[in-house]
Amino acid sequence: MSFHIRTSHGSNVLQDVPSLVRRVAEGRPVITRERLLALSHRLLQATTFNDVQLSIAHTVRMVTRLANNRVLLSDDGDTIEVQIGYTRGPFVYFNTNQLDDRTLVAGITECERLLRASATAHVESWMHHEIPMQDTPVSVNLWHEPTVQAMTSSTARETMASDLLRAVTRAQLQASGFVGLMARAETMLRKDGDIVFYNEETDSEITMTARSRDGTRSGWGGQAARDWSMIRPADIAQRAIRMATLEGAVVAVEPGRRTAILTSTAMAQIVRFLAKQFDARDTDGGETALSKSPHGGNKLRQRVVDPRLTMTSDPADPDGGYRPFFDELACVATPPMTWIEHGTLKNMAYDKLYAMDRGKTYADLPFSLRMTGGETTVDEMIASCREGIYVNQFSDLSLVDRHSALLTGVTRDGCFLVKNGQIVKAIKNFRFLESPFFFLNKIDVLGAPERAAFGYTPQVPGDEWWRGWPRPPVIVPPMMVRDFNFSALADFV
Amino acid sequence: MRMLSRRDFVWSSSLAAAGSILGVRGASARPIGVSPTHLALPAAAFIPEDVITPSTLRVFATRALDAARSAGAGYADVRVAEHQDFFTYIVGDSELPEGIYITPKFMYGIRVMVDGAWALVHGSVPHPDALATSARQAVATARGYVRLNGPRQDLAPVPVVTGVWETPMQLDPFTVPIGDQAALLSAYVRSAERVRHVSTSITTFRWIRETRVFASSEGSMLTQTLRRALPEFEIKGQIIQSNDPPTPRKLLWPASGGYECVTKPGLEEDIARSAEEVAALSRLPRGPLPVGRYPAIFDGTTLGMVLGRTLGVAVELDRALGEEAGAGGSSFLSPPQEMFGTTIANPVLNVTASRAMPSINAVKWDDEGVETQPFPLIQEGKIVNYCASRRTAPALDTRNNLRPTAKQLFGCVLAPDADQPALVRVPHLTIAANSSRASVEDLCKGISHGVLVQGAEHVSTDPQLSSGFMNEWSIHLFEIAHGKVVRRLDGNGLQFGTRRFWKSLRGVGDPSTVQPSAIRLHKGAPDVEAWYGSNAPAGFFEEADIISTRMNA
Repeated sequence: MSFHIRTSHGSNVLQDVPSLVRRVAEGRPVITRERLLALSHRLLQATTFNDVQLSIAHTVRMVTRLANNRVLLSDDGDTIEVQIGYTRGPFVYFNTNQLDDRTLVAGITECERLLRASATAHVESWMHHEIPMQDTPVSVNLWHEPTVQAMTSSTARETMASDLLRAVTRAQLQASGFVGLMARAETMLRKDGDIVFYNEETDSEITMTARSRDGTRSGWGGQAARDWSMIRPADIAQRAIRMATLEGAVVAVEPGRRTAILTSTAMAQIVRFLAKQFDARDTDGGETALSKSPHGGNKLRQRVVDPRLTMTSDPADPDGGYRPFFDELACVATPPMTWIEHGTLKNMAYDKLYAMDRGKTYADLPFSLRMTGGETTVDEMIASCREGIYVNQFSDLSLVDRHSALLTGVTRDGCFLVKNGQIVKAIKNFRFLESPFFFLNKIDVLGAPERAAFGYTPQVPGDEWWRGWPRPPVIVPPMMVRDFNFSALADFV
Repeated sequence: MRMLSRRDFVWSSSLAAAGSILGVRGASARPIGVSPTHLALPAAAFIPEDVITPSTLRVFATRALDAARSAGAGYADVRVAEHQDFFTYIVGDSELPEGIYITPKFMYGIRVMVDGAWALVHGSVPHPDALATSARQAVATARGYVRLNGPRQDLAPVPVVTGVWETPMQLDPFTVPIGDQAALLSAYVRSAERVRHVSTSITTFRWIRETRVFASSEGSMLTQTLRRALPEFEIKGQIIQSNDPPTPRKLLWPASGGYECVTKPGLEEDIARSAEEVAALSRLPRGPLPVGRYPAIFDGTTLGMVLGRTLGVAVELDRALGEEAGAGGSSFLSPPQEMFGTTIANPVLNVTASRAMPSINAVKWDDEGVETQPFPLIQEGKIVNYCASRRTAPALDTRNNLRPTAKQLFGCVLAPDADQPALVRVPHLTIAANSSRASVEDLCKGISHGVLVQGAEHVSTDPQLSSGFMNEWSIHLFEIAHGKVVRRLDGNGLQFGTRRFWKSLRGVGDPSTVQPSAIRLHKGAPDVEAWYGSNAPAGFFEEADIISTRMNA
């Protein structure tokens, strides 16, 4: 039996968490490390059980939406999450978004009362194993001052929005876009007060869509970076404008299997469906493309993709680091993992209970993934392409068949015919029907991996596991592949 | 950033995959002993007594508006809510709940307009100072965007209203002992599993109780206590040894109301009958259909879902005006001023939209303070309305230069949580049924070779909603031969061009064929999900494009 009680009532937390306005004025939008640790220690003193892990996280998010050449809306706010995990016995988990003592002590008291009641009733639970807890400190460096400065500045977002809008409207196009910044501070403490994990992180993403006034063309550009100073609004706008204006009027090209040049943003849309494919429990049960068959078994130590590909996840990745506690119930950091090495399946993601069952190492699903590539630039790919389709972005993807990781979706915001080394025509969008485990075995050329912006990426069947923005970093290469199945025309712009 | 833990996946997504998360298929599922004390308690026992009262919420709202006005906002509104969420579930036919989740929340969202620029600030601290500070912050942020705002947009006027409303309810689920709820879930599961080849996985009751106050700087003050039921009960017909995918059917649907939503008279008979039907369907032989165009019967769930996903979303005015171009997408029913009155479907299609009971989003006033009322969306195949907000409605009024009117406002604005942006969402859709007799069997009888499409769970579209795709992981396809359902289809999908597809609708079923649908759809940036629902009869399409989804590497 698991009891999860979340409470959110209380009053007057302001002395603990000064208003966002004041924090912004002081130059730091999220709660300070000192305040966070002081709070955590105070709460731990209220617990009477020994195997307790407490985490407090404070997230500030600022978003500006652009549409029809103007700022549509800005949406700013902050969230506080307190989690107290009792990891021996039935799993009890208390979550709140209030920080006052009264609420938290009341919540702790209630959880412990339930735990005691369960213990005396001889509760037997399949979760009654001792869940291992992290016993060595974990740290990752994901904080970038320029992002913080952009959040605390009164003009940084306005200037960014203004630059983007000006570039697109000057090109006689309709601009839409998204400017998002995030900062987060969190700590995870054990009962004895040792810090398991202290993390500060920042992230930002800018995307732009440029559409022709007659509604026949559309282009997109985007960038994601933890360090705001790395964002190049001119490049983002230029890519969107270029996609919307390159090669004039749009023609239809026959659907079918063709060579495809996929940008890294198009690849990111595909890669997000890979996370669940590495689930060990599902794979052993015959549910994924990495299963031996629908009856079960897995393809460990078999080649599953091109030998030039290696797929890894590493919290300390310089381009794509992340906090290694995706699962709110995690008491152990997810370790760096090599999932696929030179095309061969090396590891799968065992959840904590399945890992204990099977004597394997726990690792969470690879929401953050790096896919190694090659060094060819996209321009070089185009130059070497006799005939193919250039895809700027994919959209509206969903899983069609879990057993083969077959996906469908459409091309969006820039689709072109390449012939004899050049882009020759802007073409109508396609629907595609493909699996990464098919086309990653038909790679002609690989480019250099880079962190890709996702843009609009809601939860859909096959990718329900991550909710909200931002998504963990995905570092993928552009590539040119053979026989990509553009299954039908999709007559939209 | 909010990571989705496996727990959350259980309560928010399809059940079929959820079974693997808790290890139901794994080695370690054992019966769980629970203290009897817990089971005798209702959910209310776990909620702190000092919940925030409606009058306190109104005080918070007033403080926010005062602060916004003092700081110079031309308009401001606020949504502030005290929210309780109780969720319990069983695995298989166990009488003991596997887990109990109780989540009280306090949330607010303050929206201000300064010289035509809009800003929203949201938060979770239940203190009037916090709301006042947020309001001032919103005004400061909006000021910074005034020069990037473009031409001024007037808000369509609405009456200033003060009022109170509560979802009509017979029995408060927060007072029903947890053990009784688990026992009821278990009884329903056993009713279904009595039939050979029928199974369930995770069956849940989820209840929401929220008091939400809306207040505007124009003087409206609206207090609504909302009661939502979000049960999940899906049965599956499956011959295990065959390894075929199951033939599922949902038996409980999201709705507004109380415990009576899950104890409707006739439900147990419904369950038993549905179990027999899915078992029979799962025993049919299975094979692929050659690709081609075939007449198709859509059941009520599928017809309603495809309608909502294509035409419903397409008439959300903000989308049709291009405001979602960088996010959810645009609309093929654009520009709206030109699309009014055009024929989009066969005249047999008549669709009404409404936020009346018992739809999941039933309210008296929407999240802009506009009173909700039913309205026609499609009449005899013609578009007769768009779903508008106060800010977007004036775009429809092009026939004269008078001030924007409110006649296009029917209460379509929704912020699923009080701290989220309030966006246009198409309300619950009702497709009018055939007044003459036309059951699914009758509709099938006229087909010598065609397909039956049942139980849609998802529809893939393109960003402009002008085409779509579904296959056996999102719908259930059967072959009809000489008027009878003869085979389950394997390796087929269905794709359509929206305009052509709706024009090929030839008839709809009678009231006996009416079924609900419910799906969560996303819009906005960052994306926000909301429930979309429908009640629709079966539909007969002259031609559906059946494709093969068989792929080899």
